[in-house]
Amino acid sequence: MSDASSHEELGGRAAVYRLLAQLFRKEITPPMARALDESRLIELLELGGYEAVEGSLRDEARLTSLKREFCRVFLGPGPHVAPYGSVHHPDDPKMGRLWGDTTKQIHRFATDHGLELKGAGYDGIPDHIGHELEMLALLMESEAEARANGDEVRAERLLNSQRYLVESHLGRWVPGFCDRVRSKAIGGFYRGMASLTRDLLEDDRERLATGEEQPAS
Amino acid sequence: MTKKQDLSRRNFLRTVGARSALIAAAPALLVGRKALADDCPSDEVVFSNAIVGTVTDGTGKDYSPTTGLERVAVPSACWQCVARDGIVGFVEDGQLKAIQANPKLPRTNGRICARGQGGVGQVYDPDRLLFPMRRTGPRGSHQWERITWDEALDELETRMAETRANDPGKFMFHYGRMKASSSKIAKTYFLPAYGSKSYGGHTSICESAKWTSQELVWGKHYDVNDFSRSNFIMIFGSNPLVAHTSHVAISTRLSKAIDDGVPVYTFDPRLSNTAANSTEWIPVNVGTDLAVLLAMAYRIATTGAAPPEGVDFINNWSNIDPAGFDSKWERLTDLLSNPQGYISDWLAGEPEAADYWDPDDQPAGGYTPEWAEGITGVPAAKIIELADAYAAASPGATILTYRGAVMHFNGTVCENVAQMLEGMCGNIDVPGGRVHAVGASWNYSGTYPKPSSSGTSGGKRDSSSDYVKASHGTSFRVLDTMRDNPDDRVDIYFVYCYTPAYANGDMQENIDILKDESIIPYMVVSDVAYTEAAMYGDLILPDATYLERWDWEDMVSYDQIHEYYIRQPVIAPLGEVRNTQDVLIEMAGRLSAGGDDKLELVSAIGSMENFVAAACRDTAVVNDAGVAAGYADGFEFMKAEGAWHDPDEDPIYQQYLDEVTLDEAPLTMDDADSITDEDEHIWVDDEGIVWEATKEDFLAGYRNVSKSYKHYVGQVIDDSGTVYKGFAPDKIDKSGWFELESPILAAKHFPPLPVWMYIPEHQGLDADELILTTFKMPTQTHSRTQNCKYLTEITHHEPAWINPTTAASLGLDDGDEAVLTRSRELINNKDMVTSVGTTTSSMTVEVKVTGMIKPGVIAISHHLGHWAYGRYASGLEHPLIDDADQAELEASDPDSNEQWWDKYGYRGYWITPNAGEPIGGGHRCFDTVVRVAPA
Repeated sequence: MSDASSHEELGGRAAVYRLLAQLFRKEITPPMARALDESRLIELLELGGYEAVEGSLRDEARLTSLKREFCRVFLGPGPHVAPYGSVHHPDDPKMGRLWGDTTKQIHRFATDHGLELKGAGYDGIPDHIGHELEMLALLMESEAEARANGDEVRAERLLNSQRYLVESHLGRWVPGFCDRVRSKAIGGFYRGMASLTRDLLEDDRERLATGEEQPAS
Repeated sequence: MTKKQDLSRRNFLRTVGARSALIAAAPALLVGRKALADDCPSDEVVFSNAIVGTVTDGTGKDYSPTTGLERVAVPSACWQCVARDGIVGFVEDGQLKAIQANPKLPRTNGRICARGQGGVGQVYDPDRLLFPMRRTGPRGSHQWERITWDEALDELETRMAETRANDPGKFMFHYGRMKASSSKIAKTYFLPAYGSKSYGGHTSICESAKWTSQELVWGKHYDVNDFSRSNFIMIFGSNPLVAHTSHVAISTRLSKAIDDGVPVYTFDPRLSNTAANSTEWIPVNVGTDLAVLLAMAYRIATTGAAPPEGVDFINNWSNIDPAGFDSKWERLTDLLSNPQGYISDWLAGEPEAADYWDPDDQPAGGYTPEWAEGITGVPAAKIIELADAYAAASPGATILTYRGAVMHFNGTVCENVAQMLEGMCGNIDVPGGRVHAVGASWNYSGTYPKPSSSGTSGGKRDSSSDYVKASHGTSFRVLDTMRDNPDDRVDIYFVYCYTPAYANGDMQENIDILKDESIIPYMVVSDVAYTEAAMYGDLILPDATYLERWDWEDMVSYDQIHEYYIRQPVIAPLGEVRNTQDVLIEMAGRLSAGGDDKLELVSAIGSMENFVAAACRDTAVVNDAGVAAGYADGFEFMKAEGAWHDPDEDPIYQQYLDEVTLDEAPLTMDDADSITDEDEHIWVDDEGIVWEATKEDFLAGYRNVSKSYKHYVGQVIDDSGTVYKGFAPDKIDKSGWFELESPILAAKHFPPLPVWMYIPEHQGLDADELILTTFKMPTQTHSRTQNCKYLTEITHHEPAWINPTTAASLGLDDGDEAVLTRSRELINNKDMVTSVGTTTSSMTVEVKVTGMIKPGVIAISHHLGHWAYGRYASGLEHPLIDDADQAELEASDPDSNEQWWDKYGYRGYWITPNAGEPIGGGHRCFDTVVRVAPA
């Protein structure tokens, strides 16, 4: 594939995953709120019929509310929806626990692809949904770059890697995770974000399973 | 097969090598090396090899036999309990898979306990705290928001700066478990630099009376029972096969002693695991161990059974005043034979003695075994038999005491008598006896100088002055002290690795106080999990587990040698957790901002890793050993090995006999007139105490100068004038004598020599009143392991133990529920006055009717009964997943599926008062009296 618009679409989808990764990883800070307000995420949510926030994210009270919602939903203490793969992955023999066997697989997957887990956003546990989505975004971007350069062999390898990441990991545990987030969250923002993530991944899972080379535009 | 055939086969096998050499010489069959040689003609090659290269000695990598993954072994140190054994963590792909013992540490010789192996659960506990949190609702309402470390430390810095400006003593640091380098950073560096003396520990809820007694009698505390070399062992109130401050070290040596046929006798109201494995279990009435020991001392003193080493020791080294007798030994014998006379004489000269003291409470005929039988329930014949056997086996016999004996009302005196008995039989500091512990001697301040503690303010804020010598504080009184004395309240209550609500008695009171912001305006909790402490905090700082942090370690040797070992991160810290000591170091830098010399000294450390590295390099023996082994320095050596000891070091005994060399003879009273300066000189006083003092202090007297122990030099015991190291003081102003006759007790209106002390609240019990005692469970600790699934699966619930006879009299059957109601308040100070508790609590428990406990007692383990601390400890919902999906999770998650238990034990401390024994201030956690009735 060498169509320039397809490369852009792949990169665009990767950008959405990157943004979702950030939002699953950290509460919305005022600078993030400004960026979000200027981004098309809210628009995207609304276009897709997903729940979002009403009004500006620059409202301090709304941000405080979202911050506490984030803590209650993703962090605890007490019952929450831990954003780590091994907690939810049905194939992990240690499901329900941090740093399960599927975490090790992700750790090795990252290492095998030359990715070092030591950025400022890394929290010490490789299978955080934010980290896995960021890996997927990286693979997509690299695939797009390879295709743009005419390196189809590398692009196919990277496509295979996406297939593994989605089929064996993200696609296995994130849908259940997102449903749980929807149950736990009170406000619309994280409910909408969870739905969008689930649907995007399902779409990519189908695309990758059928061998379709590019995301549906 | 015939013999001939067998011989032929053997002959053939023996010549295979030679035959092969002949075969290899045939060019057409050349294989292997030849085929790979550059100069080998290709037409000579008949076979081809698949592998090229030269065989080396391997990569040094290790691979898991089950997963096939590379397995990295990281030596470190356990901290599941205070024993702190050497460990090795095995890591695959960043995941901690298993923990085993570090075989290079002689202390444990390659063994660790289940708790140590279960430490994996600390790291992957689903209830771990991974991020800083700030409270957003009322205390205890579980409403939080995550904040960044910068936000957390900004907030704390602002408050700490304000408090420091006003009164730094209003910052209180209250820790539970903190030892070695972690303790140094907090107590020797940070707090003095900050300016606060306000700190609390937890020793008073463990065994403080034992340490206080040792400090009163033989100086520097921490005894080791030298079981490896003992030939006779008696155990009072301890269950070392299950738990001990040196659990694996002592239990493995005790097990070997048992296997080797060494007689072991265990006195306990309960058939503990140790009692069950002993030569004999001797059931003793609760709180009467002191009477058994006094009766044994009486027997040994009055029958001439003591070995000469014991008599000599008492005569040469004890400080007993002969008071007209021919020897100290004879005075001691008189005391044991006529305690009524002793108390009468003492009372005659002690008008301020408490009403508690009455000659009639002492036996008229001395501490005879027959008298003891009536109090203890132990037959007189058994006391005689064991006293004689102990004396006959001495020197080289020993007595192990622990909290079951020492944490009663009479606990300090009980330990005094245990030491006395060991001294009487020559077992002090000799092989096989009770010896002064030897620990590592780290040089930790060579690179990072310590800040001065001058100018600090504050104090322990625990009412410890209510007790004779609570040298380890009375931490269980901190909360009620703050409640009752506004002057003792602090601006910042920083709790580290400690659960004040759970660990102490009167738990509802603790909770009420912790929730009251008028008493505790700001509470910071540094913890690894959402414990009964974290839930009441205002600010949560997520602490690193012991498997993610640095320390140098110094736990004592059970071979009497210096054993050095370190703790290093086995895995990278999860989430954003940070070791508390690293936080304190950073806070020092923030508070100093470059402008405070003392805080700068702390800030300069930079990190715990730096602190440990410097100690490894600055401790000459470690560094030299590392360099000799081919490492760059001691730190690289210790990171690779984890532990080191000198294999040629001889065990250390009888350090008190070491002679002190002085440049010149010490001054005496006769020299005082000739001294006109105000300098410090070395003096020897009438007691033979050699100390460094100004003339003014010397004339005031060693016993009257505060903190004179800091100036102790040595002890003269006879006319030879030889100065011995003696039984040097440990933060108590005692002499170098073995102080069985304590001037410190005398000054507080207590009998200076050890005598019988009955427990007032245990007298005249009604038929439905029982003594509530407590015990430890295998695989758990008091409050720091129940979050580990593996351990809690093994030990999660235990009913209250009650004897069949007692149960029947109360109408209770096995498995019934009973209501326990505290019926008596306890004496809680040195004035022997009963405190009035603010609550009289009740609780309901399931009972286990068993003959493994004496009548008149009900026993509840204090290792269980959490109401927080996560799903495994307390049955809370799975924290990592929303409760709406609990059922789904239960079905699919093996951990949830396999959590088959739904009972979590009981916490007797709901109805145990926060009362301390009058001398050392140890928590009287074995003395509660309750009324028991069917629920």
